[in-house]
Amino acid sequence: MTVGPRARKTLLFAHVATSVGWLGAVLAYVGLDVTAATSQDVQLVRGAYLAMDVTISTAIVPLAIATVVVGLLTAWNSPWGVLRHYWVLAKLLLTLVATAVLLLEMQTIQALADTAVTVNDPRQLSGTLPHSIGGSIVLLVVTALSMFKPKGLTRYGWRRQQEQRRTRSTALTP
Amino acid sequence: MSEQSEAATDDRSERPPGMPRWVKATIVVIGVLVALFVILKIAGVGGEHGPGRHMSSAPASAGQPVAQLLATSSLP
Repeated sequence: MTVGPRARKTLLFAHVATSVGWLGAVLAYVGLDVTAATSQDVQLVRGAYLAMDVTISTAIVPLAIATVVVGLLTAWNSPWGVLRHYWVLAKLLLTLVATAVLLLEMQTIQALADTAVTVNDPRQLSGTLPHSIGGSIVLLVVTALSMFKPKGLTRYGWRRQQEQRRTRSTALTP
Repeated sequence: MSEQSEAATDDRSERPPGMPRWVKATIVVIGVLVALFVILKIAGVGGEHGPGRHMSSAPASAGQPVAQLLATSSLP
């Protein structure tokens, strides 16, 4: 731990705000994606694709990157650590995979928005519903891991715990 | 606590813990999903995966300008 309690609390606040904000933005995106996939109104579908592009580039991607950076800083400066507990490690891996898929998907969504403006009937575009629903599920799993914190120390976490115990018992020995 | 159970506790704390069941189950589920995805991709089921897949079904209107599209829109 390298920062004081106030800075740690500020980091935790930023971590919750960015990660929950990311989930909220993705759920709003799913609403637009469902509209794009199901609506029969050509203008509404066109508008939905344009709004999906704006949402992803101004909210979802910045929040995803902020979540990764702030999440790592928060874990580093907390007693949980980054690699000591399986639930933190699982969260990190899921977040990194979700961010990578999101960055790859960004080009597709920009292309979809461009196409939606130029085609006669944007209702024929296939949308990104499987990706957005999959992404929402991953983010809900990550949120559940944060809340329930399932038990399980990694080998590294166990070694660190043993070291700390030894240091504590040495310090207490007169 | 008996001497035997104390020794067992000490012995347990000297060894690193095994992987929890929930982690093993997650790894198995992810492994199955990845294997399924790879098999489907190799078999060609579901078609191409990537940006091209999303664009293939909508024919472009040969550069119809946005202004023209908006002019013909049904919105007031």
